[in-house]
Amino acid sequence: MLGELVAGAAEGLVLVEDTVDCEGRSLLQSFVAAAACRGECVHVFGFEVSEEEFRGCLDPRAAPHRVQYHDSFHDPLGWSGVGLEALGAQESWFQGLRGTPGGAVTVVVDSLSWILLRQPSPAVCQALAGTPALMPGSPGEEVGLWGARVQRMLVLLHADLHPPGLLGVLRSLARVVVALASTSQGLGVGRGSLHLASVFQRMRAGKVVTKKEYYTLQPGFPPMSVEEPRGPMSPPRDDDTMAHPGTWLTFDPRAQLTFNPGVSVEQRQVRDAMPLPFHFSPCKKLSVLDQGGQIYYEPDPGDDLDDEDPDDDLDV
Amino acid sequence: MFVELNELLHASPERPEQGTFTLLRDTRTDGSFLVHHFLSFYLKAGCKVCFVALIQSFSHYNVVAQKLGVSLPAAKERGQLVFLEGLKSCFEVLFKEEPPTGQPNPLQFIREGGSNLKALYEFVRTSLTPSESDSWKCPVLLVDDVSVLLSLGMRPVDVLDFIHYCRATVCSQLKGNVVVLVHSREDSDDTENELVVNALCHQSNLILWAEGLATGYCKDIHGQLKIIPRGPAVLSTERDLPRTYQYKIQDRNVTFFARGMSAAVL
Amino acid sequence: MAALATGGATRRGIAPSFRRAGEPGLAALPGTRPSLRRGQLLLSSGVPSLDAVLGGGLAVGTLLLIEEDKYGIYSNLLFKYFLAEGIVSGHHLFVASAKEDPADILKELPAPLLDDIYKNEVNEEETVFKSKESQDYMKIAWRYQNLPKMEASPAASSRFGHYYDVSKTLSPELLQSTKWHRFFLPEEISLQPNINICNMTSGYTRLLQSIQRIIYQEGFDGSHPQKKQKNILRIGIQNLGSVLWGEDICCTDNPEDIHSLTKFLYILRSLLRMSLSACIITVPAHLIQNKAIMERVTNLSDTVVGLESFIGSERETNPLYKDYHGLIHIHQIPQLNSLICDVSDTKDLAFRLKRKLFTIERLHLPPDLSDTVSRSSKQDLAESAKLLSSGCGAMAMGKKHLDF
Repeated sequence: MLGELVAGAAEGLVLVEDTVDCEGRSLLQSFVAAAACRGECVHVFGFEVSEEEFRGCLDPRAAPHRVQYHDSFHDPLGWSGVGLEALGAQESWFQGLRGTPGGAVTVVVDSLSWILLRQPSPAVCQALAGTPALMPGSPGEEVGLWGARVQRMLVLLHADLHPPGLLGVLRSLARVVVALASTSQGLGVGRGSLHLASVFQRMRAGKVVTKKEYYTLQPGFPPMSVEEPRGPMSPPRDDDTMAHPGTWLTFDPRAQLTFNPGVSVEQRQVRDAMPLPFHFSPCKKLSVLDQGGQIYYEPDPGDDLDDEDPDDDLDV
Repeated sequence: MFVELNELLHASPERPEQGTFTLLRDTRTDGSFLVHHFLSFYLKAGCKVCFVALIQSFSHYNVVAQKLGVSLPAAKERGQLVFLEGLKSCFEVLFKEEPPTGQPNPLQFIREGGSNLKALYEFVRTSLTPSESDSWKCPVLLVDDVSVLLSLGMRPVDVLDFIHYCRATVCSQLKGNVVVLVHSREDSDDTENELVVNALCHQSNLILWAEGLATGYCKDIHGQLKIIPRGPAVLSTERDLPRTYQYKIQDRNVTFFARGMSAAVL
Repeated sequence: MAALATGGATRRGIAPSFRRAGEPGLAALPGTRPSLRRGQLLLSSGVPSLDAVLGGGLAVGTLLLIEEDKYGIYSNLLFKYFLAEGIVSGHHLFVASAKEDPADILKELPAPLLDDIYKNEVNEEETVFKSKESQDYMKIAWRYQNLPKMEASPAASSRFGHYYDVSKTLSPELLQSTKWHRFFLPEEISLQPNINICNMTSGYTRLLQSIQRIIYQEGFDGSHPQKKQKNILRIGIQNLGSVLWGEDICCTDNPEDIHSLTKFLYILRSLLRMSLSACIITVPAHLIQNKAIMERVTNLSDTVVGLESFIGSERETNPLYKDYHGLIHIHQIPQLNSLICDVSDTKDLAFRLKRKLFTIERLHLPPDLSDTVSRSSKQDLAESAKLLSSGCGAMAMGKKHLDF
């Protein structure tokens, strides 16, 4: 799933959430490399690392001339008096997009956390939502604003720096959310570095796909999904199983019911051995029929015993 | 400088790394021994050092540095060390008449309740920008400790801006190193400080995290040190996995050992 | 604790003859002793057992922060001990308060037990103490052998650290011979118009200016040559951070200016570091609503000691604590001029206020002598004893987890 997203399936606002334990810039860079390889124009707005550092980890085959780096790292606030103007107006983010040749454009913000810590969050969210490609219902629309079409907007977000409410708002704006987490130690050793990605994607038809998978990153290759977490490591959530019909077979859907509709083999044996009350078994039949019938009657004290023939009076 | 720590970090004063941002973080213990280590390490390595010492006096650092075999006054005279003594500057800002000429005090914000740490950054930049006559290896900025800036009324964003600019200038432009100490606690109510710590963790290339033992104080094991390299995931190797060691601080040295391998309990 | 006691004793044996090459004359200051290992001057907090716990005493130029107990009784006592020790040692005093008139505080200082009186007084306290010359090991009860107050026996501490009788007040003659300065917030406010630098509560600004003026005028800062004999300034600030100082951090979780107190402490720290002075501050930590402030305050102080009195708490009735009046928590000991700090072996410390003496002891169980103690309560005690037993587990954060 992650591989498909990197290969171009992700459109609109793509949120890559990372934490201190698991950095997400590498994944962001593989998105960038893949987009550049497809021949798209990539604009990177870098706030946290220098251009050198960002390009240093980029796949060298990824057509570096298609990746344009807008350096907001060295002087974002105008303290040095050189570099970009102070980060005041929201429009200035996208100034650099002017003059881009037509075609699909990928915009990368590294990282949104930097901006959110310094700018009022409603304005930032409005700016994000205001990017044409993010308008609901018009994902692939040709927008001639800058003569280019913003196909996707990749945003890196440090999830542990923001209150949960703001994270929820951003997720609601995004078409694709990739939340990264580090794996438990046992998996990481000896298998390269494995990371856990929880992917959430809003499909165009209104369908929602969520999936968790382990992935590795190798230099020069797109991220490789290794396997999906199974078993005790991460119990499947309801929406997980709902989203993937294929997984119905592997997960027992009856596991989370409040009652138990199934019986085990032993239970079945015990149940089968239990005679039903109305069942007329041969031995029951034997005990009832084969002994011949006899009626015993012991009179009650209150019985009105009358030796007379009750039909006596009929013989007139 | 502690030789054992150098070995653990694969560092040597002959070839100091360049362009790294190291975050020193302490929890339930005092991580200042790491500051002393890096101060003596970079002075021995022949780097130009700017030390923003906010929490202790010069004489304190000097006495400890002597124990580690480095003379701070001599380094100052050579022009190798620029020492900003926060406590002294603070006093001068508040109780001395302003000198009519010269630089504004880097801690001017204490008096004015100013909104940013630009003056402090300017001080760092001018101290570390090499002149022609300098022959030092690479510039290094040390800050002890960043949490003090919050106590002095700075907002977390101000502190982050300051460190950001230091990183952009020292690490990226001048190819030097930045080493910063912060305090943190898991159960802390100080959300501002936790925000600064987390944000700095994201920016760092290496985190050295000194923690007091969860089981309490012990006189033979003073705590444990987590070494967390934070390179790009693509290039990470087995060597870059996080590691944890326990340590014991002695008078002039710190010994490190694997967990549970203290000489006292074996 | 035995190791600590002997360590302290040997150090004291060397101390009078030791003088650092770099600072001639400083060691001759009254009421101080140089620290062999750390190259600094120590002075006594006025409670020798507290000095022992804090690694020999308070370093000159540092700040001792006392977190007040619930009713402020014992913190006030420590505050007074600190000042009384200054008077007996001939130091200058600076007393600041927003509640009590400093003159009244000084009048209530406890009287020192001087060497000859001390022996009699201590005998009255039914603990057998002997001077070192006539030590008779057979008579000394084993229980008292290793107590920290023993190491600071009166013969050795004639110059450093004294015992005080809380039942008597300091003689007025001694008080008159002392040079002291006062800062009483209500009268300062009436003296001067409103002043405010660096956005602090105005009470703090005044106090800092007042301290700075005295340090400068009396020549406690090393930068100006002192006219007379060098001396130490002992600064005592009572109940800092309370409402009476014009602070709202005790009233609300989200105060108007949460940085006032921390700024004040930082500037005070800079004043202390540059002068021959030491400071004691009591803070009503239990009243401060925003715990983040206390974390920062701790970071900005040198030595931090918390008091937890048993008055009104359920521990008052606990048989385990029947010998004590409260617990003392050493939150922080500074690492000055050194990589390590002198930490005592144990952090389970309790204090008790006897008829005349205030002492800090290692928390231990009372001997179980009564025959009537039921089996179940014995088990309770044994359980509690396990919790207390090792120095290692004392401050444990999680009970299940073991590091080694």
